Amino acid sequence: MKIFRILIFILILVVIFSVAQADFTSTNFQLENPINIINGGESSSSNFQYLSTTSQLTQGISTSGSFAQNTGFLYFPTATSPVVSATPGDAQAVLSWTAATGILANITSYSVGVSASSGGTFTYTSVGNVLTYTKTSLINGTPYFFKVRSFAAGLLLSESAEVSTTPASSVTPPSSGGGGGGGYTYISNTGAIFSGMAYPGSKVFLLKDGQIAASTLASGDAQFKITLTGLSAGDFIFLVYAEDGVGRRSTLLTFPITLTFGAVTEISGIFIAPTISVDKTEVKQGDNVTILGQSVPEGQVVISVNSDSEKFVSTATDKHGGYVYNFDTSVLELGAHLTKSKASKVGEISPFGRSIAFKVGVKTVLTSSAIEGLCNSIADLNNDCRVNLIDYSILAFWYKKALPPPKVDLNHDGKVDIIDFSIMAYYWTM
Amino acid sequence: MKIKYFFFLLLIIFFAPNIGRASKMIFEPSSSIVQKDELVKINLYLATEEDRINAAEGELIFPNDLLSVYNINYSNSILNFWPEKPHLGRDGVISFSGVTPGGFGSNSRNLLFSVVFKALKEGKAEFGIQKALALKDDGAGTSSDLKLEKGSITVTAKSSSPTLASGKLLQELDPKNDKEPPESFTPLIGSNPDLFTGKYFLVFTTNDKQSGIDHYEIQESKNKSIKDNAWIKTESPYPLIDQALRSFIFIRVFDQAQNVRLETLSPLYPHKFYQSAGFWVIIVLVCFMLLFLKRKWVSFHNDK
Repeated sequence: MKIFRILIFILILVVIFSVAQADFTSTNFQLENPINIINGGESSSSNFQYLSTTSQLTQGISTSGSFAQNTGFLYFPTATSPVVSATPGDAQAVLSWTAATGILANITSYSVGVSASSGGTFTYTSVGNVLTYTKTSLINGTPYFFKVRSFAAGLLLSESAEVSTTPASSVTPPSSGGGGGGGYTYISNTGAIFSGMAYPGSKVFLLKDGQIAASTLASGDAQFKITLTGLSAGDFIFLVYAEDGVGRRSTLLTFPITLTFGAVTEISGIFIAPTISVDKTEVKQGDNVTILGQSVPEGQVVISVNSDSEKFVSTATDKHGGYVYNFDTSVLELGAHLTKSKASKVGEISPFGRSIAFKVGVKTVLTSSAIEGLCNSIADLNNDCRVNLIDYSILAFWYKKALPPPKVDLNHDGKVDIIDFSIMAYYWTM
Repeated sequence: MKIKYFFFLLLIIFFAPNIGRASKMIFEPSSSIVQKDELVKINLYLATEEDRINAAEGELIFPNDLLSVYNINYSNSILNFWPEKPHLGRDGVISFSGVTPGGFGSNSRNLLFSVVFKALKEGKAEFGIQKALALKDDGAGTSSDLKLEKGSITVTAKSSSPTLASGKLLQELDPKNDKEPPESFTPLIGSNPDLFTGKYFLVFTTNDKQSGIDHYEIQESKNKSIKDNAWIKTESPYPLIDQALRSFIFIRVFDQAQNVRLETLSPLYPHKFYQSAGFWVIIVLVCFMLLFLKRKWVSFHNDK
């Protein structure tokens, strides 16, 4: 009997903790611990009002002749679009994709769509909460088109861009053959194609295993495509980032890809996060701080300002992808704050980009340059406004050595260890 | 007693969700049983959940009376750069420390490196990880919650027939199967007061996805031709001999199968035509010739 009581008590605790742990946010509100408002009440801030609900036990729509009610938080979430890579095989295609990041919801499953024509009708198969899937029973020599959708508890949240691949019969590396002398050379067709959206006219860089492998200019509509061939079969870490017209850099997007011998893997639907800068390093409380950057043309940008509670504002980009937002700091506390942004266009959503710091204080200090911060990176040890193999080598030279120079000891703990390398890896460019 | 039980359960309830989200270092042997004198491969993975990781380090420990290291391969690792490449340090300890710019996200099979062991004698060989860290890609090097799993393989007596798995491993490790040169790379020139007293140095690194990198060789030359006997075996960073940066720099990298990749850097400050001795020799010769012709011309007119 006592055991039964204990079990009941534990069950109650499990329910309380599992329900009360989740907070929910969207672009213009945050709802904390929704369990607390089940009994009725009102939550409000400067830009929203939330009156307690009649029921949130199930997700669905109640309707009558004169009203409709959407219940449950699952009606308001979004998610970043997965970036899909497709590698052809013998009568099959190996698909892998980046995890979609849910906002207001956790991604619980994905489905893979296949079509015989670009932009055609896609037939979807639920594949569960995985990041890779092999589509078999395909016809060699026929191009196929794929999309991946993300779901939260059955609700469609985001969809990837289309990616295509053409299955082909197995290609094996040539053997050395017996006897005979002479050299042996061949050009490998193994490679990868990267495509997606950056900023109009921006320079897009592709890094292979941390080193620059290729770069290209994005077109006027922000589209870019980079083809890299002549690679070996094996596992690679590819990084993609863009530099906008004034030299601001995006965050790095990482793609761990396994290349198959003789096959070209296509990675499409890459949506590079917007660049961002602020016009003031310190702003007098109540004055505006201008947040600006570049993304896709005629898209939508959501700006997050991190304070005691995260604040979200939204603005549109112009035909050159530029965006500007004058943020009123009267809603912010005195002290340090961070701001970051993400973009969306025609159903595709980028991840959040780089975070930029500013301070709300009693005076206003203008930023001296739009790219200030990048050239002052603590990891830029040789002051060339880049963090690359040169800086890594300088740091590696002092690894576990006594009395490293203060500039090299990035976290100022008197030694150069893996923590300093982690800090450098975060600021890596090319 | 009941109170202790209650608090224990309460702790589980509080921390269970976080444990589920912790990163894990996992062993995966190619076979759970191996015969004496045969080979077995152990892959070490970092399974990541919510945290984005950009650096990891640790020590893999194994019983060196039962197993000996035959090969360590990190060419397909999720880690790109190695402050400390996976290597056999003390007996029974393989140390490693590596980073990946940009980091990597949720994945249950992020390969850190592979070790091929040779079974020495019968017994149960247990593996473990110690002094391990996985650091978040957050710009501060914050440690991620890390769960260290253990693994084991059983070494049995040698039988008359060798196992297929060991034979396959032996074939995999045969350098003759590697026909491709190492990956192309771009060497960079840098300088910094904290390194080589501010002298210009060269940095370079690349990878070979099959057999792995063996070594690098370098030569600096005033002209574009390569001398066969001027190669110097080296490592990055390399302090340049020509600090005026007027030389061609050739770097060649060999993989374990001795396939070669050659990269060339043109002089950063090439000689101008007027900076060569030959140019001034020609100028002087031309001047002498003009003087000679002038004298001839004058004497010719005087004779007239």
